[in-house]
Amino acid sequence: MAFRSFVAPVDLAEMLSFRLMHSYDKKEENVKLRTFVTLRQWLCHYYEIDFGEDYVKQPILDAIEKIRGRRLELTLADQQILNKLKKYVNREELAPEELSRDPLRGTYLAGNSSMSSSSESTGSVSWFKKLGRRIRKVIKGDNIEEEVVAGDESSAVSPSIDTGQLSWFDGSISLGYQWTKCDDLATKYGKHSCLAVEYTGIMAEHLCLIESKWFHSVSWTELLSYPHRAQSIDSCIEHFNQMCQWMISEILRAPSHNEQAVIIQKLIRITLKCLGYSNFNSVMQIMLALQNPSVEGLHQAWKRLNEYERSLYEDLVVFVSPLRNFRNIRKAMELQEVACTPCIPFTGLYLSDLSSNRERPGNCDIGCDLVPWFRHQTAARIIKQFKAFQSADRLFSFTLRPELYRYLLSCCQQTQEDQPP
Amino acid sequence: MPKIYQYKLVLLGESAVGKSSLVLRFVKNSFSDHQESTIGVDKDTLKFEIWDTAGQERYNSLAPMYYRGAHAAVVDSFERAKKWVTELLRNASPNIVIALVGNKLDLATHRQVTLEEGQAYADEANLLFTEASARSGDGVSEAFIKIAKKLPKTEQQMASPRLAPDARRVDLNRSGAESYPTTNRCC
Repeated sequence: MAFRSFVAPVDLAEMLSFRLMHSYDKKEENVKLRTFVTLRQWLCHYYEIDFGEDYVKQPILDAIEKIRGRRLELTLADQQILNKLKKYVNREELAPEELSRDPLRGTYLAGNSSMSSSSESTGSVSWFKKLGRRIRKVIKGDNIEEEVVAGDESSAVSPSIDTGQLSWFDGSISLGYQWTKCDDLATKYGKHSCLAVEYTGIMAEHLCLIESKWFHSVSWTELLSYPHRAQSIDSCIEHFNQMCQWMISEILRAPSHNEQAVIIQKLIRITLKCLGYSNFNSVMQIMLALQNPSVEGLHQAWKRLNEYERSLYEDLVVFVSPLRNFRNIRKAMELQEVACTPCIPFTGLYLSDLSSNRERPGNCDIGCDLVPWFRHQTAARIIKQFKAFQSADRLFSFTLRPELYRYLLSCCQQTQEDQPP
Repeated sequence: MPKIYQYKLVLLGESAVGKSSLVLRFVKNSFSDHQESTIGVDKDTLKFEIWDTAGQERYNSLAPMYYRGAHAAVVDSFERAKKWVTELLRNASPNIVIALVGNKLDLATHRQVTLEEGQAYADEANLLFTEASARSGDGVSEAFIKIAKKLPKTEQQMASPRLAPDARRVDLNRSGAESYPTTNRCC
């Protein structure tokens, strides 16, 4: 895209179109993908600036028609590239709005090699690998470098989606509006799961926003008095369980093994993403959902994941395992304590620490009036750690899609109704 | 020659019924500080890996992670015992030994479940039943010994010689959830 600064848009369009045609003629896969990615990037980010006039779009549209006219043997992926490109040029589709097309097509299906699937997935595969290294580092206990993944490809493109901040949304919105909006999304998704349809990045960000809302509602006094007089913690835990249940049911209700596999691998990616955002609560939720006996029993779906994804999953299992008192998660959370980045810790750890602290036999026996000083000191230390994560500068600043946010919340609440009492 | 067996034992129950106290009493009192949570049965030694769900009882979704692969489960609360037993029988390993332990025997005046009631339910569901008091220490080690006697002593359960016994000592200073460094996944 450096060319943009010194080449006229129409010339650049011609050059890139020529390149695309050339790559189709010579069957140069790499060039084809690279050209497509460049074009997409250009169309998504500079549309308003460079594509105001129709004659700029013309060379690209011509190239697409010419390639089609030549009756070359086009693979499915090739056709997808052309279709997508055309849509981008005509502004029919924005990158994050994947709803108008078949939700499952663009996603990276296991079993295909990364080259033969559509090019957007190759981008995410490299990102995926980056995160893989990252999580291994976390597990090994090395220091994590600063956010590698923040501001990913999908979150960058959202100019015309109606957006709002969390604070705005938390204000009053009439219930009727909320429901029509939710139903809207539900009809758009149809029988597919929103997990399969929505972008990984978008989903991860919304999970972060949701968790952040619950996490910041917990007050430290309740943490101390838990399990008595702790309404916000109770609702927090209930929400945690509901999220888990919802994810499990999303996987189980998918119509085919293929789609189950898609959701599972999507969830693995969302987990990695959440880990990048230090949202440990969501990481726990997703991993518990995936490790649930009913999900683990879906051998047909798991078989469809490729080796790399499975190894990532194995790593994540080790990461969240309760072995040695959740050692890995604790370590990662400790690292986040010093950094001033947004972070949502897994509340369960604090609860278990405080409860063990309470039940620890004191130095003095029953009937002794001495204050258990060390116990109080430990409790204070634990609460201090917890409070540090709640400071105001640790809020996520993602762009919110209110309808998706509400859709996710309503999904969870419905899950609760389904559960037996 | 006496053999060493190793088992995973998980504690389930409502919060504040005294699960952690029970373990602490068992590990700290019946054996000295510097030993593992071991029990000698018929010349053989049994080691328990005790997993405590302290403070996380209400995280229903977390429970499967704890009881997966467990050889024994100690259920502490009578009211929810039925729920736990069905869940364990459905999802945990089929040969799991479940023990129902009535804690706080020392608070006899506030007794909520009679001995007969507990025993009747335990017999019906094929559970072990004991009563104990973590505060006074009565019946605590007896409960664990009862479990130990019922556990199958198969080759699989032999503690692997790779792990030095010292490495698997219960670390009381960290917190209630005890577990041990193993190279394999434990759950």
